[in-house]
Amino acid sequence: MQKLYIVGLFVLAGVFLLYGFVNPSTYSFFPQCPFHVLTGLDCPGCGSQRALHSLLNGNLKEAADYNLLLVFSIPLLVVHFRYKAASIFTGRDIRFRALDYTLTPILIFILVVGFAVLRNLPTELGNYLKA
Amino acid sequence: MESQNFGQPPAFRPKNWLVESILVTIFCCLPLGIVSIVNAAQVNSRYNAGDYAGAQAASKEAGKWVKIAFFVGIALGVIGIVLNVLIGVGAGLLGSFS
Repeated sequence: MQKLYIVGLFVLAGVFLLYGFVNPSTYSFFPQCPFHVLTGLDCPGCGSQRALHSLLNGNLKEAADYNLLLVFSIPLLVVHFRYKAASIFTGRDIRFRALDYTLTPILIFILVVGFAVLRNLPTELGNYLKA
Repeated sequence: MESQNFGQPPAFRPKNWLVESILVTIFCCLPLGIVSIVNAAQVNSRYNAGDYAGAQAASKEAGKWVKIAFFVGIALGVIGIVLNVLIGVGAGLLGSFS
């Protein structure tokens, strides 16, 4: 298990290096969202590669324009992985309690589906939310 | 399904896969992640309502969909990259011959 975490950290570092230095919108070898290719619509994940590149280069505003959901998810992920790291290092089961509330996944579901719908509508908001 | 100790809370809350569901939703570019978020919601609501066996079953289901979204996402991504490279090489060859 310990080994798996170390491998995971290396993979993560590699992904950050790749997406930090290479802009996905200028090279065609980055994978395209299959859902977008098939339907022409934006899924909740569309724009996340470009958003990650923007984020790693310190451009939060541009990242939010590509994929607002990714930017919103960062605080939650940071808190979760801080707890996770703490429980690995201390050997105790420390968890982010808010993730176990009944309401949390329901709210996240509403956010994700709402985002998916709104970003495909031909409105000013949709224009901002689309990838 | 597995645990038959109804009424008694198991020592551990079943994993709800919520963070993993969010990650596959954002990065695997497939609407399948939404299915695992729904299952994550069922893990929490069932466990919090005392339905421990139901929570375990939902946990299994959530994990299954996270894995499906993850591997399908990777497979389609790799197919996309291969197609891109093939088209690129093909175009390059055509260009050099004509």
